Amino acid sequence: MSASAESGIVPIVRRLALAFALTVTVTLPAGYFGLDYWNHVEHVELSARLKAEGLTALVAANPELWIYQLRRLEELLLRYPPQLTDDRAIIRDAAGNALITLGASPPAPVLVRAFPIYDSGRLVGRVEITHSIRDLVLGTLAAGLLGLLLGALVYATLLVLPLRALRRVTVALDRETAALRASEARFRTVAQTAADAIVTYDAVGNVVGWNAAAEKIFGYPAAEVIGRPLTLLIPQQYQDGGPGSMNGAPAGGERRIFGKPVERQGRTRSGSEFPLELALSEWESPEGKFFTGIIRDITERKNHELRISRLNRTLAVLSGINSAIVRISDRQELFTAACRIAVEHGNFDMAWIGLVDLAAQEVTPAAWAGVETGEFLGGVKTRIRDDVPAGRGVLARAIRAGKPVFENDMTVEPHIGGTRRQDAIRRGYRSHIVLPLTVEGGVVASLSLFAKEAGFFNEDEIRLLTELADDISFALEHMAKQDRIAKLSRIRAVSSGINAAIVRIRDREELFQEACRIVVEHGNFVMAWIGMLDKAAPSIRPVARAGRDEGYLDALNLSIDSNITGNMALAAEAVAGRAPVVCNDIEADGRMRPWRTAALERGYRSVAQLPLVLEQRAVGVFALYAGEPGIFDEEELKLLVEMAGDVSFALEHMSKEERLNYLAYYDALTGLPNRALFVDRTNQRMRARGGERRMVALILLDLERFRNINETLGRGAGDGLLRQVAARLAGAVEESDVLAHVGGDQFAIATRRAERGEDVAHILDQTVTRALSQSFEIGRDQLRIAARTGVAVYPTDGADAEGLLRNAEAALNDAKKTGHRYLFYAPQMNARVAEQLRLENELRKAVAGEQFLLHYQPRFEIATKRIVGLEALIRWRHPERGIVSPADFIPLLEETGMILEVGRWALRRAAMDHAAWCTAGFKPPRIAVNVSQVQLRRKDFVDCVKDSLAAVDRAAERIDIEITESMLMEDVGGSIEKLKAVQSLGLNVAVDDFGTGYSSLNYLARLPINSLKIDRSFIIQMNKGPEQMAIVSTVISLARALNLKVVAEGVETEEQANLLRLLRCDEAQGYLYARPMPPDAIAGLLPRN
Amino acid sequence: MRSVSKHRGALRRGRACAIALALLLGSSGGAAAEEFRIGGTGSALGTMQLLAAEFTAANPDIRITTVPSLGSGGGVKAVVAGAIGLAATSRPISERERKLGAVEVEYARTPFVFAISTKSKVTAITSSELAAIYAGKKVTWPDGSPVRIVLRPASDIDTEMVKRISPDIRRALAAAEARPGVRFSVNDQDAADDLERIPGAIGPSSLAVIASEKRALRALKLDGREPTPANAASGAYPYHKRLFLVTGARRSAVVERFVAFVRSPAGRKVLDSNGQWVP
Repeated sequence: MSASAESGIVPIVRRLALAFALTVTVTLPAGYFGLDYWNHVEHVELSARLKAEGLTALVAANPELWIYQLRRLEELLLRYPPQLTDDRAIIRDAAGNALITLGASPPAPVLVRAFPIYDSGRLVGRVEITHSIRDLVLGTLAAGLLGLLLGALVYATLLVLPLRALRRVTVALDRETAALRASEARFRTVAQTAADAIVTYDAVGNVVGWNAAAEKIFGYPAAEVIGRPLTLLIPQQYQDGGPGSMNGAPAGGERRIFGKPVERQGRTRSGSEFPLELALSEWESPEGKFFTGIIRDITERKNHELRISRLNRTLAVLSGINSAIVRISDRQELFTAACRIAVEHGNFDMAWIGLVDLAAQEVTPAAWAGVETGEFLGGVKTRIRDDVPAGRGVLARAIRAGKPVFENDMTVEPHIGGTRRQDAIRRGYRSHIVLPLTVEGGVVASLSLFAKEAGFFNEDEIRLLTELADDISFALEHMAKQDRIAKLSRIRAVSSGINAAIVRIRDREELFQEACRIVVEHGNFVMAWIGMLDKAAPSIRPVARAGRDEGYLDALNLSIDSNITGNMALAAEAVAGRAPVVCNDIEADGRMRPWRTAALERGYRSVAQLPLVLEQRAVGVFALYAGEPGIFDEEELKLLVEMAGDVSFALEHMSKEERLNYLAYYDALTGLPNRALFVDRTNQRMRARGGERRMVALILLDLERFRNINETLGRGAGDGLLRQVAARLAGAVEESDVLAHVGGDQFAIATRRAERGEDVAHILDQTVTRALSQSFEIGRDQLRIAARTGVAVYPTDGADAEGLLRNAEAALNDAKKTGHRYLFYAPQMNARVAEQLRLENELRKAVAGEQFLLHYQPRFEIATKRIVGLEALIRWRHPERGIVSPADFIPLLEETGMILEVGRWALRRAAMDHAAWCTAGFKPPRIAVNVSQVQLRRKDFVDCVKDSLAAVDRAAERIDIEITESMLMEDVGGSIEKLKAVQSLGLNVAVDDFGTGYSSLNYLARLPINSLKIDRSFIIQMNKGPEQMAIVSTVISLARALNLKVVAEGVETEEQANLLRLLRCDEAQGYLYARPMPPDAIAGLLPRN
Repeated sequence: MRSVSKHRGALRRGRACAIALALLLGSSGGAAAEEFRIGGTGSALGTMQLLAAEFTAANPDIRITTVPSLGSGGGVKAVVAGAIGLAATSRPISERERKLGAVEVEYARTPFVFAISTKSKVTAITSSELAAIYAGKKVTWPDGSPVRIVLRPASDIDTEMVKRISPDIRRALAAAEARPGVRFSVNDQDAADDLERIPGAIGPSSLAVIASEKRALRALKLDGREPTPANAASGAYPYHKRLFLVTGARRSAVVERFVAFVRSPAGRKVLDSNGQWVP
């Protein structure tokens, strides 16, 4: 913007600012005054009106004398709103005389408003309010001042800010104009001095601009080219505006090249072509449309790019092959990958790798890639001897030199080399390189690369390819090492596995079998077998085998008859020669001819036969068959021989051990374990079950009069007797017991079957007594033998077997001295066992002599106190001790099984007593008889019940049975079946002691029962607390819910009876009602018919 | 007996004079009945009505009307303007009123009292209690009922008299006037009405009003002194109002006669029996 424009704008801005400022200055006080004045007016008018209305009301009430009611007038003025505050109020009569005046005259200026007072429509006076508006005037003046200030501020702001901005814009514009001019000058200089050609042409395609660089690049001076067509600079073939054209605009179809550099071909004055980079832009001026191209000669860059691209290609191959090396562990796979990568990533037309056999001076193709490579190679080996034409070719030379050899144009010397080279030339290949691949310094393979492009290889490329060959060589070397390590590891794994088996296994056959299995499974051998020499045959007899045999061994002739060595199997050869025999290539080895086909069919490729040597003699052979040829090299064989040596050692050791072991632990005479083994095994029994201190009883028995037999009938008779006793004892003890002949005429038994002293007594009966009960035949004599026994018990009598044995010996000595048949080491044990046995004896007599009797305890219906049942309770009337409590003898009856008999008796007795009362004219209720767990457990329980009651007429109507809850829970399923059967006989079933057995509600519902008897413990406790009461209440509710009768047992107090009645318990039994009493006494309580 | 007969004699004499005066006036005034109106302070209105009744009974040709309270000032103004014939005031006339022609004569005095409804059991009060009541500190009577104050306008003579009792009361009254919801009674009758009507109300009045208008109000003992005319006359009860009769410069004969009657023994008797005494 120019200064004149600026001077035109300034007055406008100034006028606008003034207008705004004046508006602000005037509006503020005027607005203030206007708004507030009306407030004042309204106030005064309202005041006058309201007061006048009040006065008009007073006048109406007292029209004559109201003007004298001065007090009222005053009150009206004062009390009628609004308050007068600073105002003055005057009441005037019609003539205008002031009747009353309130308040001083307010300061001027004032606002006066009057409102008329009427008497029935006649004006009788008026109220006049005088109100000062001095504040309003002062406020307006203040607002005016403020307005003036604001106006000045607005004026300053509106005037200064836009002018300042205007000035800034002007300065910036001036600066830009100057910069534009400088830039224009610079641009011109740049264009002339630029390294790139800048060519401008018009819409018809004639050159109009040409800088120095253009002259240099194209060779035309400006004078020569200006005004001439652009096609001068474009090769003929690109002049049609085709894709290569530099000419964008005239052709019209290349607008797409604007704005981005494109590569094209250019033509110099001399006519040579060169690559160029063109950036074309289009612009317009008043003279018309123009195009400017910035052109750069990129010949050098293109050459560089080509080189980089080739190197990149080779690097891609190198990187691809290196990644394959890392990934691939198989040689063949690596070769294939290398060839494929060379062709796919390296742009070679053909790549192949040959395995070099230096000995045979041959190269065999192993892997290749490229469209026609397979056909080219034809699977044919290349000979590299220098006396054949091929031996002078690139391949042979490279292998011999151990260095890469290349040619960049094979056509230069078309006649050297073999036919394959001629073929390559014919197929159009021009560049060729061979890279030897080495392992440990020796060439093992060659990598050949072909390209149809001539001059493919330069120094950089050769360097990279050499690196590539080194990398592949490194990988090959690594693979060879890995193979070797794997092979040895495999053998070591086998060896270690077999050694572990040797340590672990004591059985020869098992060891052989395990060794074969390890060889196959851990050693990856196809098959393994072990054979033992059968001297009688003489041949080798296979004793263990594993892996893929499929009848191979059976077909093998394993004879070692020296007469037929010509056909001797390698195994036999190994045994005969006591040296390993190896065949590393079954396919080629002549010795394997007779079995080759069978072996190859089963996948065997190599085999090693290792003799097993015992005490310098070959006693067998260990044969290993591998799936690969050449597996057994020197090092491996050494390991395998060591392994066979270990097996041989084990074999030898076992032979010795077997003999020693037997002698050490067994008594040669009886074949029973000797004292040492007895101690060992007894200790094992003690330690059994993870430290659980279960009782182990050690019984030591001594045959009486044995010395006499030895002395009178001779030692042979004595030995015979001992053998027979041993056999009988062995037949009498159980498998878990340990029986031993511990010396002389003493035998020992260790058993874990006993839980108490009495059990030992029973075991003694079952074993020793039974074994010696029959006479022994010694020659023609029949001998009866007795024995004394000493017993020691773990853990009370000793902490180990030795200690127990010592104490059992002490007990035995006591028994011998005192004449006891057996004695325990602990005296109190003797007493207890004696007592138990005595009781047992007496019980047997009691059963036989019917010393048992039944007492009956009545059961009452709580509501009616009527007898509704009797419970039969067994008592033992001991001839000396009187009545014995059932708690003292029932457990023993159950242990000895006598309970079965007593149980049957009880059922029968109860039925008979019931029948007797009936006959006597009483009306007895049913009798409940308790059934023992031992009875219920028996399969024939139902039959027993039936049989027991068979003797009494209609017994099923007289008798119920009671079983405890815990009995039921022991075998719920079985109990259900049996109880159902019992119920079907007509007997009711009650569950006794209910509440103590943790019945599952689920079972309870399924059980075939008729009533529940709540255990006395709950009844006794029920009034002791709410929880106990809750239990009883719950059981009663439960029984009711299941439709069962519920009986409370052990009711002893009235309080209990009352509570039970309240809880709606059906029946009760206990001392409160009646004690158990003999049948005669019961009769007195029974109702009569 | 003697005194009674003497008294009766005096009465008879008074009455005869009055009748004679009435006859005289009646004859001079012609046959037509004459009338005038009495207005002014409310303190005197009840008594004026009684006096007028007594007077007109003896002078049936004269009719006297008492107008509702105009207050002392209003009464003077009205009598000067001739709107009423006679004004009763509870203050002497001012110099300005005198210049307008007003003439006064003090005809009685009456104890200025604090009154309360006869329904209340309260019979006495002290000036400190009054101060507490006006200050709003004492808000209930001993029986627990609320105290309500009845005030008179600030310019009223009664307000001035209350203020004079003590500086405490003066201060307390100023505070009471500023309290919202306080009852202002414009004149003596309004005040008496309010005191009768509003439960627990206390406010100023005069024995003249209570007695002449037979108000159901009790004049309270103040600081232990009974507000009787005798006590007031002796100064034992220190607060009283002076009552004046005011006429304009031109006064009619009937008014003169009525004034004379008021000052006569018959009038005095009426005054004595209505809580007033003649000084």
